[in-house]
Amino acid sequence: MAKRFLIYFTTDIHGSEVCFRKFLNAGKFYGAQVLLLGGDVTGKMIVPIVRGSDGRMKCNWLGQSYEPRGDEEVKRLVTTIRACGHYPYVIEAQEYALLDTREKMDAKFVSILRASLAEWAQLAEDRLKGSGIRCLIAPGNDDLSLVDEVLSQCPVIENPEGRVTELDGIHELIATGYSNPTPWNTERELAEEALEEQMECLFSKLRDPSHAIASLHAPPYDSGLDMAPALKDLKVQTSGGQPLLVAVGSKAVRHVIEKHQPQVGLHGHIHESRAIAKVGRTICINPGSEYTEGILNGALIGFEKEKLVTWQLVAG
Amino acid sequence: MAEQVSGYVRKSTGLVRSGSFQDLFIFGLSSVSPFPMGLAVSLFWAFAVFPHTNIIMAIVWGVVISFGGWISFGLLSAIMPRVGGDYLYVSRIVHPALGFVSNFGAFFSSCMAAGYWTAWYTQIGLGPAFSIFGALTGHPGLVTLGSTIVQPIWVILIGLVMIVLMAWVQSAGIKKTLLVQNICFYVGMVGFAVAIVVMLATSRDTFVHSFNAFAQTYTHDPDSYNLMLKTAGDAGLTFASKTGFFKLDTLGSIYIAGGIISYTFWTAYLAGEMKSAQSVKRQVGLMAGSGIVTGVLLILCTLLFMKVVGNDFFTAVNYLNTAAPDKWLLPVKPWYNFFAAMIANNPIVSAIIAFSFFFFIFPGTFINVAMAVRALFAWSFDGLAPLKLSEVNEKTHSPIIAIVIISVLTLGATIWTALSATFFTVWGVAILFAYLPILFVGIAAIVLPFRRKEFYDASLLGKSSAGKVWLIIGGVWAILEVALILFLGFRFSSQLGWTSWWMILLAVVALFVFGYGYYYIAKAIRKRQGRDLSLVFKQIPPE
Repeated sequence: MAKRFLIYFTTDIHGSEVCFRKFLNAGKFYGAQVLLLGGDVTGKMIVPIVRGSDGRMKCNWLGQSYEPRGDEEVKRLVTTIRACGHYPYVIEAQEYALLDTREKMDAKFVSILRASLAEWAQLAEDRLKGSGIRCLIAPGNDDLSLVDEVLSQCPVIENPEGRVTELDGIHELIATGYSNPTPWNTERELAEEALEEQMECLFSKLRDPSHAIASLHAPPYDSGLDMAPALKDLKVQTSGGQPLLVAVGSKAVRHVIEKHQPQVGLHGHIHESRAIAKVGRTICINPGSEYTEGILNGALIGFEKEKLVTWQLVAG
Repeated sequence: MAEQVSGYVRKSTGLVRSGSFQDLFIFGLSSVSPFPMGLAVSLFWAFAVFPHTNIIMAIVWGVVISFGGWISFGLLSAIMPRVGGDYLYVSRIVHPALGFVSNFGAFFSSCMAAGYWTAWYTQIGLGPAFSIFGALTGHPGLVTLGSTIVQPIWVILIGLVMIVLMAWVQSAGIKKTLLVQNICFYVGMVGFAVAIVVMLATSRDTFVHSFNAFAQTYTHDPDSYNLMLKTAGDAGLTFASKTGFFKLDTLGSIYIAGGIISYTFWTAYLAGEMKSAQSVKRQVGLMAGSGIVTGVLLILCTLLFMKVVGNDFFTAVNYLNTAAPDKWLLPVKPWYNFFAAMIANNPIVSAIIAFSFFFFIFPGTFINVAMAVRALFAWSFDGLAPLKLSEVNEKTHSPIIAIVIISVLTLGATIWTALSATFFTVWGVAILFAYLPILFVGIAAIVLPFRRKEFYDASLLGKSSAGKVWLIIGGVWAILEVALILFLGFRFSSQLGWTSWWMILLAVVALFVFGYGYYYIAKAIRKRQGRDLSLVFKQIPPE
């Protein structure tokens, strides 16, 4: 029997420390030769743990107040917050009071994020160096440009964004973390026409699109991988108490998949839409995301030579 | 200072204001169990088989026992907000084979229920509506029509039409399905509200007068009200007004009341943005709140009807209708919609009350069909069923294959219920299977902090010193809830339709054998295809 080439794909971990650590272990755990993190790597919130002049620590997080006492409790709180993908930082009250504008908070966010990514890069190197497991991390629409910069400094992490990556001599990977426009106007969004143009450029570089793997962060429009609640003014729309689910995927992604028919499409972006669907002959997969619960949703994609022999959703 | 300390959120995807509590509450009331249906059919069935029941106490206890499922499902849905339901909770926390057993039981129950509800389009909806309207407006042809279409052949044919209609609506997409569901629910509620207004404006004397005037045509007795009481007495019924309530009858009625109220835990099957990921109180409150309100509404409506029609009379007519139907001489069943339409004595108002009841059946049927489709999807994604089952049609963007399969199963169940009494023997099994997820989720809640410690620790519930306590309370309560249902089902088997207790036991054993067997066979097949199903829910160690 031909040796199986196995890829482990996950996406949208949004800064979860637990999920990143699981990601690094997934290669050994599942026997995968390639780890692929398909976008939205970084978190959304920084959480101050403020030390007052009396030495007491206070923190408000997700509607609850915490007053950790001692290093152990602080450490536990930090671990819990990090597990959910948020970034805690200990700060003196006077210093915290100076963070009084959005620009200063943004700058603080960036510095915390940079430090956290650097820690992740080091962790990846410690775990994967010499393992023979390739680690590909692509930024997504929610990721700042510094993600590319910091992770590229790690010798064991490859960034497949915007280029063709050779995998096993038969299969190539193309990746883009850009998405179609969202209500949140995030870092890497393009209008559908521009997104399609960008992806066409990538597909044109492929040796053999029919055996390619396309890691396109936004799922194909109306594929079942892109169902999300309809929003109005960022409020979930309901009907009779039930959320109105609508297709929010990218038409550009759908067009390029229908046109080029890669062997596999790997997607994320819509956390609730854990699903597998076929667009033409292309198997498209969105493993969904439960990063806030510390669950790493992923997919195992296995090839024997050219043939796609297995695709399976997992939740680790 | 704590008030001024807060997190800073950068611009990023997915930060939404989740659906309001009110929205979710309405879902719990409307989609899961249109309680007017429960009022008309199940509650009054209680009077027929447990004539000395203190129905108010039974409803209260029905609410109390249901807390087990509400707490367990509520806590787990707060811990795992992006997924929903017994299959995933039990598979992840306890074992995937047991998760499949639980979910297959629920699937079986949903398919049977969908068939049963489909039969109700004629048996409880159109048939009685025509009979009521025809009898009240002096159109015997309509009365005949009403009694004709509840014959098995029409139950099946009209059921088939409704199944095709439902499949068509579903294939048009979720938006249209919800629209139709909501329209049906609100039309039904308009009729129900009109019925309530009519009853509120009616005194006992007026009711007696109206009933006598109407029933004389059929009983040839000017005092049909008291005739019903006498006839029921002669048929063996003793009245609670003379004997007092019997504890055993009240106990047996808890089974029926719980069956109407407990299913608000199905709101857990909604995932994603509708849940506030960190809000335990919200999730539990939603389920319990919908259930408590359902219970309160049931109590209020029951008290209203008792006040208007009289407890003894109500017991008598339901007893006659069930135990001695040849002595119930009226062409319509003694449900609230009949009495309200009769009192209204106005063709338009009577028509609204009579025909609006039909519209409750769509939401009740749909939720069972949707649960069954959801199960097929989950199994398909996890490799326990062919991927084809979750395929979405490229033109209609609907899961046509799953809809067709469930429609065929629904039709089969409809034919079975129309043609054979054996359906009701198996129906007892189906009801039990519907409760089993509560049992397994209760077990999952108890063991979660120990079997999936990292899971539990990652949740906000894990931060609370009382988190484990609440999980254990919910889990134990859920187990007791199901144990009580089992006890009641066996203890009152003849009244509740558990006609073969040994069959019930055999069915549970068969479910476990089938469920585990299916899981491991599927696992073996997938392994030969290169897919290891034991990896689906296996936790990756982070360290």
